[in-house]
Parts: sequence; structure tokens; C-alpha cells
Amino acid sequence: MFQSLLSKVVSGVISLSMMLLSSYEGNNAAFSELVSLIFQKNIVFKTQLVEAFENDFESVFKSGKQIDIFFDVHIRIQGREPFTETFKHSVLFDPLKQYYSVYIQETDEESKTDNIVDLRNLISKVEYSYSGRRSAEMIVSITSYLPKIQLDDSGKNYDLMMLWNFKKPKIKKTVLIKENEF
Amino acid sequence: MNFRPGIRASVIVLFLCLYLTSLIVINAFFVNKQNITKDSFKNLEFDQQFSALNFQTETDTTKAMKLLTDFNETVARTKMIQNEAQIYSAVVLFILMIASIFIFIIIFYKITRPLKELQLATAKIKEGDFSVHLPENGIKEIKELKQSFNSMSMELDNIQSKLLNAEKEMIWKEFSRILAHEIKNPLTPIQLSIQRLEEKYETKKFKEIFPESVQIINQEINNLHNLAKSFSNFAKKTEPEFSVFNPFSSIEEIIKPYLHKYKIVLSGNKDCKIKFDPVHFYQIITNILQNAIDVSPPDEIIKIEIEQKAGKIIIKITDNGIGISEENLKKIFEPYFSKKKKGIGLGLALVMKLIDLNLAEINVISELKKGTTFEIKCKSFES
Repeated sequence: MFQSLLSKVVSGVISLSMMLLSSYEGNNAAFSELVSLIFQKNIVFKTQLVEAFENDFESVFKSGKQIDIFFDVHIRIQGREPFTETFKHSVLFDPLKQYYSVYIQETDEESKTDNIVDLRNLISKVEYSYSGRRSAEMIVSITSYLPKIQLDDSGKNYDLMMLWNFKKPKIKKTVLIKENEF
Repeated sequence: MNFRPGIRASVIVLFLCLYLTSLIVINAFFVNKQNITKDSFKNLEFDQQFSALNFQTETDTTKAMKLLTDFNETVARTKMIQNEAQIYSAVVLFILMIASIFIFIIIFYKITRPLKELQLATAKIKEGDFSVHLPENGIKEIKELKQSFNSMSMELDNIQSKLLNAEKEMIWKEFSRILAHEIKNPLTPIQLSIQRLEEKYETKKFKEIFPESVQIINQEINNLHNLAKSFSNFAKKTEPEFSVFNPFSSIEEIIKPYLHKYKIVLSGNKDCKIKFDPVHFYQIITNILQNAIDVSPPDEIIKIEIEQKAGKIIIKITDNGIGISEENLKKIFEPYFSKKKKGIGLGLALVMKLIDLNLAEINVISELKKGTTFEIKCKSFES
């Protein structure tokens, strides 16, 4: 709890400082509306990151390092321990062939593209299929964050969250599912 | 020598420390970032070697791959460092700004709080409380100011207690003089009457003088009794028991016993009402009326008027007596001040005390050889 409060304070200070004293834009990453649907007796939660990879990400993707985008899914059913799962979207650039390899962990799909716009679309889309306990009312929240990476052998870590102005995009929604939908 | 920096010196030193530190920190931060950026750009030289390569052998391809990876890494690093520099410098500047504001507020508070304390202490002194003592702490100038203030308040306290003692002594002396005089006055006729009775005890004249002497003794004992009553009344601390009544009817009742001997004319508003202690009202009116009778020539009219004006009831008691001089007018409400032959100067002092207790006002308008008007103002009671 203390850590969460501290991270909120830090994020607040950074946002205020940037607003008052810096011309750096970064990316105002956010989730689009969370949609739920039933597919093969599973509940599929769909959403998409918007304005997340517009500025400065191209050079980071092209660094040749594997760039992971993490997603934490929390599903809370009243009176029960929340269900939590973390998955990631990974991007790896091949400098010789000039294409990006993309791996979407939640669907276990791999793809390749040489177009940055396609890449942005591929890594932004979230389609999480939930097969655990279900209820008529479920509170679903998805949070996304970026890791720290090393871009050379100096051992220095670069926090990619900086490109999101240290703000973790989050979406929370109460999903109501009718019994006959199962 | 005990050195304590002054306000200005403290502010200047703090300001310099804070801003020099800020500049050094910011400068060091940017120098560090510039060095990292410089190191990163060294790798860009590979780009030129890359253009000279042909990708026919596996070694060339590996080299090209390495060069491209390094180049792209460098570009990414440079971007990240630039971003870091922009973000962190903004954050550092923001924190420094907040810190400097915070420090300024603390310094400001340190300077203004003792001034506020001094202001409050001065207000206490103004109210007559000389016992106020300020803690002698804070920065040099403030500490010195507090020390001066404390010595001033101590001095004032000493002077006040000396003055109080002197005043008390003077009051007691004056009071003893008046009391001795007032007691001596009836004692002399009593003593003379008793001596006369003793002298004539076995003579024929005894029967003749006895009733007269007894009457004198009784009269003077009554006077002594009245004197004691006057002192007791003045010293009594009575809380007013307010009730609502018509002042016109009340004054009408008060003046009834006087009407067979004196010309008293009552006029004005007959329907108004006041909230006043009726006993205090009686004492105030009789005291002023008695004074008016005492100073008025026989057969002269004494006027009592009652007016209602702007939510107030004004009772005016006017005589055509000798009037009061401007100098004496200031003293008439002081205890033991009297210009009458038979008076101890407690009547009007008691009037003033009762007026205050009943939250009313009293004014006196007087002209020598023409007369005096006592004006009592009290709040009108609206039901």
C-alpha cells in the first residue's frame, strides 16, 4: 500500500514538473473501452492501448533489444480472492531484414511486420480469454506497464515507463453477464 | 564574543546556499548527461564503416548486423538520455522550487511569528497587563527586541505597582479624613447634649432641656446611621435584577412625597417602557432629584421630561439652581467629591455605578447660575 502511494506521489510530482517546466511530450497511454464477450464458454475481454507508442518508441523498438509490454489482469468476484494473471506482448527488431517479430502471449500468436503502424496495432490490442470462476457480476481491471531495459553493456537501466510519463494506463470495469450467455 | 547572525545575514546566507547548491546540482546533472550523450555518439562512427561493406560473406553479414545493432542501440540510448534529461531536470527544478518556497515560508514564519507575539504582548500592555513576558529566543534582532520589550514591561509593572500603592494610600487617607470628619460632625452635638444634660441633671431646667437634647441625640444618631448606610450602599456590589416597567409611572410614584413641598413637573412620553432594575432606578432618580432640590431656590420648578428617540428613552431632570463649573463637572461622579455642606460625595458616584450596571448612559449639561440638566439614556424596551 505504501509502495502504491509512493508511486502515485512520484507520478504526480513528475506530471506536475513536466506540465510546468518541460517541453517533453512522451505518450499519454490509455486503454480504450473494455468489451467482454462469450467465446467457446470463455469470457473474452477486449481492449486496446491508445496513444501508447507514438513518440520515441520506434527508435527503442529498432534498438534490437527485446521490448516487452506487460499487462496485469485482475478479476474480482464478490467474496472471493481476486484472480490475477500477467502476460506480455514482445517486440524484437531484425536490423538486417528490417522487420519486427511480435509475440502476443495471451493468444500465443507470433507474427512479423515491417510496418511501424501495423506493429503499433498488433502490440496495442489486448484479447484476454478468461476461463476461471465466473459470476453474474465481475470487476475486471487491466493495467499495463513497461520494464527497464539495458541498451548497452554499461549496466545502466533505462526505464521505458519514462516514455509513458511514468503513468501506468489502467482500465477497470464491472462486467455483467447473463446466465443464458454461458 | 557570542556571534549571532542577523535577519538579513541569515536570509542572504540561506538564499546563497540554496541557489548555489541548486545551480551546482543542475550543472552536474547536465554535465553528466552531456558526457553520456558524447560517449553514445562515438558509436555512430560505425555507420561510415557499414556503408563500405558488401554482404557476400557470412562474416560481412555478421559485422553488418553488429554495426546496425550498435547504431540502432545508440540512437535509442540517445533518445532515452535526451528524454531523461528533459524529465529529470524538470523534476529537479520543480523540487528545488518547492523546497525554496518551503524554506522561504519557514524563514518568513520565523521572522513574523515573534513580531506577532510582540504585537499581542503590546496589546496586553495596552489593556494594562504589565506582567507579560516574552521568551527571549529567535534570531539576534528579534531576541534583542524581546529583551528590550521584557525590560520595558518589567519597568512598567514596577511603576504600576508603585502607583497603585501610592493611590491606595492616598484613597485611604482621603477616606479616613472624610470618615473622621463625617463621624465628628454628629458626635459634637451628641457630646454637647450629654454634657448639657449632665450639668442640668439636678436642676429645675433639666425637664425643659431633656426632650430637646434627646431629640438632638436621636437626630445625630440617625445621621450616623444614614452615613453608614451610604457607605454600605456604595460599597455593595449588586447585580441588577432587570424588569420591564413604565418609567413615567415609576417617576410619578417617586416624586409623590416631594410634591407637597416642592414644585416638580413631570411631562413627556407616558407609554414607553424600559428594562431596568427598579430599585436602582429609584436610587438614581431620588439621588439626582435630591441634588436638584438642594441646589434650587425655594418655589423654583424642577422639570422631569421623558422622551423616546431612536430606540432610546431619555429622562431629563432639570433644575434652575446655581449650576456646576466646568472644572467641577468632570469630578461630580468621583467618590467623595461634594460641594454641598451636608454631603459626603457618594450620591452621584453611586448613580454612575448603577447606570453602568444597568447598561445605561448619563450626561450632565450645566451652566453657572442658570441650572443643570441630568440626562439619562437607556434602551427602549419593545415588546
